[in-house]
Amino acid sequence: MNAVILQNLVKRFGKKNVLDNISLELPENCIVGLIGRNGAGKTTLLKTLAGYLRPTEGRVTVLGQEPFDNIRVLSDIVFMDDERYNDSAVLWDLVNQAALSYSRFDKVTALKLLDYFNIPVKAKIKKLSKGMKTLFSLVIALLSRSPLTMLDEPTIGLDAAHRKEFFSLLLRDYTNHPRTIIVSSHLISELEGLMEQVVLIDQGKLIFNRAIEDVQSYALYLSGHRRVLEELEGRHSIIYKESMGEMLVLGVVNNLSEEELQGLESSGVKISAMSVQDVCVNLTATNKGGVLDVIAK
Amino acid sequence: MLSQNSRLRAMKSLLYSYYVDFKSFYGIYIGIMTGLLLSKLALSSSASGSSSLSAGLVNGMFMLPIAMIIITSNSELLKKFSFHVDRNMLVFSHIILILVLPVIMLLTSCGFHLLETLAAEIALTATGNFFYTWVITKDSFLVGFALSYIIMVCVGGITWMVFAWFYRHKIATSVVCGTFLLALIYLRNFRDAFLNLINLIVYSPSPGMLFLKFSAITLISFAVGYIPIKRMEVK
Repeated sequence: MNAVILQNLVKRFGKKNVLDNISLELPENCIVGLIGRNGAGKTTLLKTLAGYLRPTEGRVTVLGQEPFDNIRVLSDIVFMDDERYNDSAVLWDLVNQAALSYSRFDKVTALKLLDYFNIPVKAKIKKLSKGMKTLFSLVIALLSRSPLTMLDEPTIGLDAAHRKEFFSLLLRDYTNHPRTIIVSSHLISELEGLMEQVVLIDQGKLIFNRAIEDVQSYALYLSGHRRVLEELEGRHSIIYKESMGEMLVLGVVNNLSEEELQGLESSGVKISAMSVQDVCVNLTATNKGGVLDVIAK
Repeated sequence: MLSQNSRLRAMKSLLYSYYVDFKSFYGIYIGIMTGLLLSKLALSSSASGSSSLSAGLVNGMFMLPIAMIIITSNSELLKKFSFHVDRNMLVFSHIILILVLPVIMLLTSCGFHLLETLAAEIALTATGNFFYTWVITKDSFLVGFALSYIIMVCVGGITWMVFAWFYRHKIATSVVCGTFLLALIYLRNFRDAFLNLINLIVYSPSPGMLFLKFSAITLISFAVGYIPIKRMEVK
């Protein structure tokens, strides 16, 4: 069974299509990375799945039902972002509220984790640092053990050590309590070890929805003499190109045959796999040149 | 896979969050009441048996609408969606607040009334230079309590309805309210008609009829205010 099914989803604010005809299916019990640039529509997509927003067109199905204003589905969803809780709320009250709301919430472990992270439960949200607020929200979201757990930019404000601990915690909890977890983040390289599925969106459109293994082998970097590599341009899909004198670096969608790869290697072309982060960045590049072009002169 | 009793859990959680929120609201109410009564006792050499009840009513008439303005705002509703809730539940919990808070405020003012009576009796015993008038009978107390309650509920309901629309449709609501106020100020016929309507509501042959009229207005306010909240998106 699929946890999420989107059919031709359109979400419009005024005249702007924030989500533009998105269709995809996400299976149950997997960790999905939702990747996209700022303003790509990630948060709008998550809010639509969380039942906050009503689709303008198309159909959204979460755990078999439409989520908008549907308490039976919403009780199995948790959505975490950085503006969740009232600033004047006391953490202890929020933990109690989580225990009342989520039937699977593990309050004992939640309190242990808050103690471990030195987060005082008697404090108000506004007294916490940015990182502590994020950690608190993460603890509540993860330990709710909701069948659909959505984390929007979960590592904002966390230092490197806390990010590492969060990823370990996420993985352990997921292993013990399998469910569908959607993580939207800019830190693609850190997520790479966790993600089983990658959904890439750009300007409201779905670029791809693939298994992580497919994305890891999606494209190649070819680095060599311009004369050799320019021949490839007409025949293959190029997603990245950088010239350095006579040298050329190409990012090529990996549908090259074994013979072609061997031929390139024998011509002195260096071949390396393109990282998931580079695939996502290159596929969503704006084609406006780089930021350095703006300040050049 | 779908959780059992999800509606009940969500309702409990929502009411718990409002209970937490309104502990501070109640603290403010108590603070204002104490300040008003202590200052009156300190500044005046007389006391009336109904002053704390009047203070409670006036205080509640201000504080309940302010609470309604806050709880219908987009930012407050967003926070309530931190934990799963549907829009019917949200409206239901608001109605519970509108119905229950006036009872709590009025009962509190009754408590203050007893304290005030006690303080006045002590003052009378201690000094001859003190005047105290006892104007409340059992019947007048019960009628006053019921009418005070329904007036507070009605004012709270109307405020809730207006702001439920205002936060969702700011321009349209401002235009309607602005036009209404301007018509009230500049159109004599409209003003007279409106005042006649108010007279028709307020002047009733019996307190029971007045109670019913305010109840009807409150119910209409709940129904009208439900519409924008039911349709709203949480942004």
